[in-house]
Amino acid sequence: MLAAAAAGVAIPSQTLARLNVSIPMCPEALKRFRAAYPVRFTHDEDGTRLTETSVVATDVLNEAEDEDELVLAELDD
Amino acid sequence: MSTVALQFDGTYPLDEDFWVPTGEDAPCPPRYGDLFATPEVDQCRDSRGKPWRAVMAVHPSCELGAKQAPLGAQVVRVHFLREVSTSQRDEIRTGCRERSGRVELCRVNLVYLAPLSDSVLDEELLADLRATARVPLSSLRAARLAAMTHDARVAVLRRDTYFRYRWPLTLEAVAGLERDRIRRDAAFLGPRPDWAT
Repeated sequence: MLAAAAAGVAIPSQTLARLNVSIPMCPEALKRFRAAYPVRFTHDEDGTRLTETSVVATDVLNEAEDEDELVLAELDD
Repeated sequence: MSTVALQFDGTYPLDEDFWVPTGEDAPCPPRYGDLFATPEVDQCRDSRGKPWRAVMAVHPSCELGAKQAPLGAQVVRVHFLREVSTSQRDEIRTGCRERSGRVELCRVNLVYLAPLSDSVLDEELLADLRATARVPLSSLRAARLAAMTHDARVAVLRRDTYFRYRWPLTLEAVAGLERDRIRRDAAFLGPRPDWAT
């Protein structure tokens, strides 16, 4: 929020609204800020704190390319 | 996981980095995130019978090309951003909001999409990840309006992953996964992003 305020960009902010801080709306400035500023989400949309997540490794999986399509049978039940 | 040199650090790239420029998209096969004209099917009409503005593919890329999608491709509805209220527009543009000093995700089912120059979609757009439809793959062929850049796809994948699974992956994590996937895909078609060569 401070970075946005310093840049003069109006971001969706409850605090700024509560403080009655009015920054002129400029969608283009907002999008430039959005693309340039690394955002770390700390809370979900309900305000619950998100846990730290680190993806440590990926696997190399070979996928079969010659699988037949499934043919589903009509069952009586 | 080493850093991937994306063209952006925030929630979405700049508008001009969202779509492969017209005329340069021919080598790019249809992929997840691409924008298509709305197929003429009932599933892609609103409650008044009007066709959706456009659709964005959310189907696995591999089944949009050589490996066919047997029962059709999954797409989501695209709206004009101006269809929602002014305050909601900013939340969709950023994908997050500040509250009590915290950065919260918001509008997680919605994805911001940049305007598509020189088209009927030449204004800010949004895709609704909840409004899905399955359409014949044939209805998407020759109907692509824009190919999404690999950078924008990373942003959309990050958002989609959180929406569907509530995995709060960092941008670096999603980019790293995408880079590694592309690098080891021997059948990858089209230009590779600089960060995955």
